Amino acid sequence: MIPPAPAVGAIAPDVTFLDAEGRPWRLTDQRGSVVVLVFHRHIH
Amino acid sequence: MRDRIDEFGSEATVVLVTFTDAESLAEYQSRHSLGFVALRDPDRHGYRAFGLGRGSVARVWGLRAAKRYLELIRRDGIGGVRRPTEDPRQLGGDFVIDGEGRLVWGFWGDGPDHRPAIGDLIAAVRNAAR
Repeated sequence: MIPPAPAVGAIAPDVTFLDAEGRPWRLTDQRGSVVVLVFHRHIH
Repeated sequence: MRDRIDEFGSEATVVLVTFTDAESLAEYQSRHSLGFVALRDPDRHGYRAFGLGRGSVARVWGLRAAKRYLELIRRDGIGGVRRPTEDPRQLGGDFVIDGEGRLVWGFWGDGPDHRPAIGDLIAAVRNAAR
């Protein structure tokens, strides 16, 4: 079940991703910078 | 987008998220000189948090997909069509978050290869950086 999409204008979800070495990257740590998140289904 | 990453300038941190495995991501990074951050979301928590689900079989493999593949072939030749390597039904999306952590622009793809116009994305970044 997919939760509702966040509304434009709302605080973005607090998400954490991993780099290739397994180190965490947390969106909330990027405050102060503009971030573009590009979700893809594959890399090529 | 990789070809136009310079147009984002220093105004934004661009992050590519996939759910690929660590080895594939490392190989991708070594193969390309990336001007952006490439990360993994193996459990797809981030996809779900941003409301990105999976497309229907009809949407993924239907007439619309065939039309899109024909456009890719016309534009890039047969090399423009890539074999799906992971979950072909996973939907993608693009989001701009401002310095206060606010989602200021979003694009939710309605098919696996449905992407926003790069100009719209760049404009959203510039607005967010003001």
